[in-house]
Amino acid sequence: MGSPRAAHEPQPSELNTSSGSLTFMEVGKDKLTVRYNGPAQHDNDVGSIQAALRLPSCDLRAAPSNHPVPRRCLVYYFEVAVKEASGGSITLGFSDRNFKQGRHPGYEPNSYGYRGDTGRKHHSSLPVRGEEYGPAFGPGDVVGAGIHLSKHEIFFTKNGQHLGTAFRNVTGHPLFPTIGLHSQGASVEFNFGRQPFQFDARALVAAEQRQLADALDSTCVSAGEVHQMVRGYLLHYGYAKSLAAFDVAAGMVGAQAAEAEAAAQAGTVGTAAPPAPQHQQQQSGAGEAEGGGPDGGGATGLAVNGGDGGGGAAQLLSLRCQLRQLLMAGDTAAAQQLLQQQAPGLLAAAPGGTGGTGGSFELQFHLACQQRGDIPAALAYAEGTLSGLRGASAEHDAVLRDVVALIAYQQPEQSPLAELLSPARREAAADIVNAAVLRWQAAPGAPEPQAALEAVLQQLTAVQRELHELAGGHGPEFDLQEHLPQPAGLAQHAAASQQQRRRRQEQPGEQGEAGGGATQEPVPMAE
Amino acid sequence: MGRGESNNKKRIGGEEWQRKLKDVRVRKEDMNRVVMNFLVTEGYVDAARVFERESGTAPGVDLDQITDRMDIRKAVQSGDVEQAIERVNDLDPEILEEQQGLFFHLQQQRLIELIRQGQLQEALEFAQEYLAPRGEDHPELLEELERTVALLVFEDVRSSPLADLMDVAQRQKTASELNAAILASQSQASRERGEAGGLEAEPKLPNLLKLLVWAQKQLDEKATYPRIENLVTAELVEPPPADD
Repeated sequence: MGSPRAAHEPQPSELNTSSGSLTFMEVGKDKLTVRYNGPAQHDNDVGSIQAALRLPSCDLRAAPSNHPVPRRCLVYYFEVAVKEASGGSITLGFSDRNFKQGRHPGYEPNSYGYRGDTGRKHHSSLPVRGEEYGPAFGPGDVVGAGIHLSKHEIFFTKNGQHLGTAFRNVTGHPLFPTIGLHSQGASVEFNFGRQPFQFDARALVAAEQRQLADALDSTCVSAGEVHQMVRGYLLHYGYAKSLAAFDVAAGMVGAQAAEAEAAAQAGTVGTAAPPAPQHQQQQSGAGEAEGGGPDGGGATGLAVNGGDGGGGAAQLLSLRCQLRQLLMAGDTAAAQQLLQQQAPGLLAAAPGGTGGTGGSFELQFHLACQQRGDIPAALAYAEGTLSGLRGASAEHDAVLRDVVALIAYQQPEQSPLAELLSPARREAAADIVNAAVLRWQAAPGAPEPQAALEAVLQQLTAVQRELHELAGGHGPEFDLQEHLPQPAGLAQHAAASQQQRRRRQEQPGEQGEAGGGATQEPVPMAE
Repeated sequence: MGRGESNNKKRIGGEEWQRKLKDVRVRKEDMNRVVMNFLVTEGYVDAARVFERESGTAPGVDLDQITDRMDIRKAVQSGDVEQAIERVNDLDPEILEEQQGLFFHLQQQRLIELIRQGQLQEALEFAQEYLAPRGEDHPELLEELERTVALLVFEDVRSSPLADLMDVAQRQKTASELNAAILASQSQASRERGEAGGLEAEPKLPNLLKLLVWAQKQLDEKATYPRIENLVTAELVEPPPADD
């Protein structure tokens, strides 16, 4: 899911001198300086150059530079220092692939320009004379051009001053940094970020981050909602003991909390605990959902003890809790037995049959045999039960193959397939069984039972993806991982690097990454 | 795709949205970590210990080191605000001195607890003596103060418009605010000692929820789609049918 960072996208770093002839201009060896050597007499002897593709794929008459503006950063920015010029005009801006050499940016479709002798801005949507925009610029000035990619805006700067948004609804991507020269003896030098910029474009990114932080600060999410969500999660997955401990500590009161406690206690006794007969009776009518129904009427769930998606998840909590414990301990046989006792018909009725709950049990059982080192049992099991599971789905078959392949290893824990024996794997199996029990007791046609936390994280990601898509795929991509807690092992590392970053930010003169984050892609700067 | 058609919002129906949701894989261990992070950061040490055992999720910090916060939270959530204040002051008196809003919320909670216990006379005296002067000094707290004191007027507060103040969620809110303040002061202290690591001051979960609320608001401007209106049920609400 890792989003491609702006830093990994190619970005303009030098002027493109490889596409045909350079009319009226000569580019320095550094590929950053340009000198105009034309007469600057007629409109058609403009020399222009792009920071564009290295390959001369289009019929460019002018020489472009090497890469377009990267798409996935928040802001792209570059600067040009005007060394010399004598009258005439210099135009700074962006242009697309089809830009015709020998024109100023802004005088061709899908190009945008800020002109030095007039301070006016130019685009095909504007009159030929352009429109008033900023101050004029000339020798000794450093001017910059930037694209705010997710806002689709172009702005310019002069000597470190932001001159305001020049163009909105910018189209024509990919765009290339471009300059048009029509001034005798003019010479300019590009800076794609190798040198410090006059304008602190990172501040723009930081401001955006601050804006988001402020918006989030003023968004109200109550402590009660958050607590209910955690509670609902523990309940949904059958973490009955955690739930009981949480309920006590968080002062959750009411019938459901008491039920959670009872379930947790039943869970501690283990297999000796008597089944919860009332649930069974309720279920005996093959999915006749009495007693409120599992979705609890949906919208009514906001009451003091909502958050479990209604009474549904609370039911069979003790059973689900015991199943989870047994599966986590690797005692698949006992879990299977318990399930057969308390939820008769579930294993047979599981949708998808072998690929679903039943198959999950079989696999876990087999894994348990292998883990115990009981290879003969595992082998017999593989030949008998497991082989009968084949054919449910390609994905399932692949898992099956891996699981059986474990037998081949003397020390399966050290094999490349060790992941199959990990606690996470056991938990995955326990989750499948848990979901099956929830589904089994749900009314027919009811939506798949889901923890609110999962639904919320899915929705968050889907909404962000949609936003990104509607923005034409520009700007940084959303990465949920950046908003999640770090895994335990990485926490130390993250804290250390955060500190480093903070230190770096305290020294503004220093070049470096502005910091990673969903909306905080650094302004690309070449190393 | 729909770019530039600001008047014409893109419409995403239920089925299409379900498909998009299905494309999003949220890993179980990530969710476990979000929950563990919440329990640890909020000072639910006991629950964190049990959750570690039940789910195999590592807490990522030494749980023994957060007993102070756990005790203080317990005090607030059991209604013993006085003890909580005492413990915080033992820990770092500056926390409550510097954060008037927090201190006010604790006093407010204390008033609520007095009313809950039916000690109306004490509640009245407490309000006059401690809460009213604070309201004079801090006009921004006045509205909340008035709302809280109004509790005294109702015979049956639980069915009054102010019933939310009596709810367990109000205790959670106060406890969370206090917990965050202690965490902030502790992590600042450890930073001043030059220690790397340590706890973050806020759990991730509230921020994730806020991010969702914010992102949905952004998308509202460009599209209609099934939204989550109620975070607790996380139920998807279909957009109203198009006008035409």
